Amino acid sequence: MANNEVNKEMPTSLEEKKTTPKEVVLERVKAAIDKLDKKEFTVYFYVIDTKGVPSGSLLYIYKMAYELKELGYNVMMLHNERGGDFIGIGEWAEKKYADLPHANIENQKKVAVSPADFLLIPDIYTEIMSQTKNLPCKRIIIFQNDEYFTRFIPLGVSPYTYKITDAIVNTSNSQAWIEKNLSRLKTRLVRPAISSTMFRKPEKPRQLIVNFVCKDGNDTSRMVKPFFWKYPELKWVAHTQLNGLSQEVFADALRNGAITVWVDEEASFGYTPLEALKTGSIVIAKMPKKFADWMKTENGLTDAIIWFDDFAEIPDLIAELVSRWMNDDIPQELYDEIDKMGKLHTREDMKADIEKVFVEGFFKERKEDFESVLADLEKELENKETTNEE
Amino acid sequence: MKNNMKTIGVIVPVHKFDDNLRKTFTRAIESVPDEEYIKLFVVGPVEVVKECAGLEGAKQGKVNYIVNRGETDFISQVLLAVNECKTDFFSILEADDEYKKIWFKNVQEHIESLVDVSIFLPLTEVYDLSSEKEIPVGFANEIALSPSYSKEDAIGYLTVDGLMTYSDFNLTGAVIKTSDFIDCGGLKKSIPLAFWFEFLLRMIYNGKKAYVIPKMGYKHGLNRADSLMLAYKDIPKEEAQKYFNIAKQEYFFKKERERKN
Repeated sequence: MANNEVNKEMPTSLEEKKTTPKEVVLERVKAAIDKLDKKEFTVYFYVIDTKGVPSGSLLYIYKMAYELKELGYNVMMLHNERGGDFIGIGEWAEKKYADLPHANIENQKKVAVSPADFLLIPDIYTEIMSQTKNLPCKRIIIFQNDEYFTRFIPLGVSPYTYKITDAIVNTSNSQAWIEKNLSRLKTRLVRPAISSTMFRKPEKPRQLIVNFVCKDGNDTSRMVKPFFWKYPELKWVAHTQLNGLSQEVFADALRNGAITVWVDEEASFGYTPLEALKTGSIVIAKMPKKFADWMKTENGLTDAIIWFDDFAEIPDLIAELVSRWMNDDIPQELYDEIDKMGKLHTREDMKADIEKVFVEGFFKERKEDFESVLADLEKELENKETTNEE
Repeated sequence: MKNNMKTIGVIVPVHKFDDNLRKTFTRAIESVPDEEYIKLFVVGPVEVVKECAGLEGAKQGKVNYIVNRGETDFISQVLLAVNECKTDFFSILEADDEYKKIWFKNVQEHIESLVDVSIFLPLTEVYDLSSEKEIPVGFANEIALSPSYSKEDAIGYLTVDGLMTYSDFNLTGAVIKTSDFIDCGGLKKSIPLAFWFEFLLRMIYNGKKAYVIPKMGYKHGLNRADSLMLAYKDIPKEEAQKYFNIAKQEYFFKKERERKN
């Protein structure tokens, strides 16, 4: 795989220069420092083409890339399409993300990266981690879900096998999991952002619609049918299953409906419930296996969500909420808790984390590493020259 | 009262003073919120109005009594009061029914955001009053909130197609834009029993919008012994159907069609 623009900046070969290997390395290190200083390096993000299916985890990566671009850094979204068109995220996410520069590594065979570059690889792409282990750039795992990570990484292999020592995590759960299981992997937290313009409060009064967002579509039937069996007098209550919608349509639906029911037990962050809460919707959620930071409070779980653990509870829960909602009898305390959620996971939070993690972290540290190598090399060469003179 | 709040006239038609009215009248008018934008009108024959005015109740001082010296059927009383009330919107409260406390607050919110809607219908709790106990029997107007009735992107809106399959909407408690009601010709006395249905059909044919607010707004009693509506119960089925067929006749909508052409 080769990116032409990057190729142009590749150092010339040993023979052309007719210099010693150490001098070549010295020049390379100097060039890398120079690139880091002048923001002339590229941060590559490996992404999957979900073929139009919305994904919160994928959008997290695009948002990270977008914010870096806004900070003046070069970013490139890498994907691998063997035949077929790349659909990308343009059908469901904001255009500004889809408009980030993309490159298909399948067509270009080689991506020529320089030591000053960075390659970010999502947790599930262990194959990419393996294939890129000899690249000169800094490689970082974007770690969002330990369930998926352990599912996809081969037995007997770890990120260290792939020469990866750093990871970006989206929750402190992931951070804790890594510290426990992969303690040599250094983690840094970048909190996901939920767009406050997209997921905003409604301009019009809400309608009596119960929105279901379930990872497994069968879960919707497991809840809706018993509800109508048990409460036939409420058979007219509208319900919709929100899956595969663009962000805009999805946000509209959340804003329009009175109640959102969410089931995704393997979720690591839980984008949907937080997005729904930001629109002011009442959220009923099945307890996931792990609770994201925003779901937790000092005293336990947030009261902004009505939690359930057993599908058998759902008919009564929905009936009670529908009845209370129709009578404007939802406790104000619940709305107050919901309002608090609007202040969490803003774009500003994510930007601040990105500056801290990338600019003050990876980029600075990489430069310091090169400077240290450069100092050692210069010292070595100096000693060599002195010895030769003697 | 906020500047943008629309005034609403609540009209309570009364035609006969008896023990039942004595029992329910105060409860009905007490259910009308004490808001500056709401004006309360009681319309009826002079002797009934006098009796009502003599009843105790905190709201009595706020009631505007309209003496009806003409016909005292439901439609005549309503038409008289609508002409008198001079408010932006009006709503009819039957003397044995009640508003839910939350109704007018929700109406104002919807008037502000759904500016093109002429009729706001409530979700109505229906009670059977034929026995001593008030027995809840279900809802009224809820069908418009079902996706099987409304188009998915227009839940709550009444449509001509929908009205052709379901006609039994309850307009007492609804808040109706006074100018649109008058422009479209109001209620037709010539179509007993089906007058609300015909009115809705005519309004919608004329491009007006009717929307069911998904909030409980009204508590309606069925089968009250001296209800004016009960008289319609004795109408033979065939005759009742005839009124609905008349209501559907194109004659009523001809004017609108000519205007469109």
